Amino acid sequence: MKYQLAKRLTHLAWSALSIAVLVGAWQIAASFSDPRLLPGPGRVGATLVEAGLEGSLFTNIGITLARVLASFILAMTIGTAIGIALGRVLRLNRFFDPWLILFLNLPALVVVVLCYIWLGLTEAAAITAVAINKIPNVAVTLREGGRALDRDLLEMASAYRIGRWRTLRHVILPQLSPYFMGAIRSGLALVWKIVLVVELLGRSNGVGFVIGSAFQLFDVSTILAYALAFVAVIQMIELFILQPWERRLNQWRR
Amino acid sequence: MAAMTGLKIEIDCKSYPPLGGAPMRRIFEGFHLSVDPGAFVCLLGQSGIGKTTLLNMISGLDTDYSGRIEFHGEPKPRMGYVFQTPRLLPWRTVLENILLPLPSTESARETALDLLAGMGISDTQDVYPERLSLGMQRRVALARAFAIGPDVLLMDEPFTSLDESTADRLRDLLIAMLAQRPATVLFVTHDSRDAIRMAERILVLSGSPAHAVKDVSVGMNLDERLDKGAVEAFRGRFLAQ
Repeated sequence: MKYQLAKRLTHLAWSALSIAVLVGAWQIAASFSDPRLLPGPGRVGATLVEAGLEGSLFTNIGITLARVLASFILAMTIGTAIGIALGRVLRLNRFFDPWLILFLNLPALVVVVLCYIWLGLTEAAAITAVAINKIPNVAVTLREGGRALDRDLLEMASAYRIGRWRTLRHVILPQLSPYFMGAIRSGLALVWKIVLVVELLGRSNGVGFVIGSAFQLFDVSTILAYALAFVAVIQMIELFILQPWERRLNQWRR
Repeated sequence: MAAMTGLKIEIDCKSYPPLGGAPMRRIFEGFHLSVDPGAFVCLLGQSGIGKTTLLNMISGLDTDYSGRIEFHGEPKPRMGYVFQTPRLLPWRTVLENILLPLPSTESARETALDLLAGMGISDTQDVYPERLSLGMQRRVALARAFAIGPDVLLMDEPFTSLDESTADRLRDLLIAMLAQRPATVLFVTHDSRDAIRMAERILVLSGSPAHAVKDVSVGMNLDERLDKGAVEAFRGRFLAQ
């Protein structure tokens, strides 16, 4: 326990040092260039505090986060269902594999634009567009999980007639959890980036919209402030939600 | 006590399709077996002869055969299956594993706890199976099979890969549990000691397709079975037959 704490502290110290060096490098680079093109950490920090006090920072991040969450849950649910089905049924996989490859390689921008054209400039269109971008990735990851399910345990479940729901909950889902975690990790990073594009193109609030407006005004300080704030939020989700959850899921491992 | 369940097995044909250049394998053809209610029958035979396949057909896991398997007394009997490996869910505790096939009621929970206590493994109830020794895991698998109150108990070499003394303790445990909770038992093994220690009837399977080459009733009482000499003597006669 003590050893683990020490290890964690060293880890934290290294992270702090690394970030400090990055900020230092940024400061040096900024001092050599036009402050309009590359504002220093102080300037960006001031913009951040200003936006925070005014409230617009939190509203916009909140709105973006809500969109990330909605499209993320939608994509995980549908993608998981498709992935398990493809992983378990060979014929289904043979038929739908080309579709999956098509959707995997469809540029995000194309999906977003088409959704806006077909569904109008609505919230539903925005969330659908992001989800469609993410579903194929989730499906491909979970398909691997579906293929790797332990046959012995499935046989046990069927010999003891524990029913579909219990089989899913106690036998299948726990085996999929590493794949699920993988999909969540890569998904979170991908989804929030696409949400910004969706907001830039067809919404009138959220981080993407603010960055779009800042681009028109050549306001680099606001762009950096919002980007950093959002990266921090995503990092918090990783640290305080995903990692504890993963530890809980893995407590049975030796 | 509920009426015991007997079995009538008539396999017309069971075969495995040719795989990777190997020819089609005919496992059973015209195989007939009747098991009396409450009997303890050992199926003895070499590996790969189709013993596990037979259990899988009885349990309903394998339906790809022609023939009939009928149950008397209880048309849809509850079947406990103890596999060759424990097949416990590593991400569920011992108690959760035993509760898995049971309805989620308080009385089911009590049944499970009583069973663990009766087997002397109450202290493991909150432990994850992979932290237990193989012998312990096999006990838990046995507890899971008994927890459902089985009419028929299918056992597929449940005591392999254990040292002889652990295996012996498990054999005694099984006999004691069956005395309290009678069931019709089909016990598959390649170890004639297993068979003679526990079975009332031993069926030796051989050949391809498999058929019974010997059908022996053991007729030893409990004390004789505990006597190593008596078991070995019977084994000598049995093997010489």
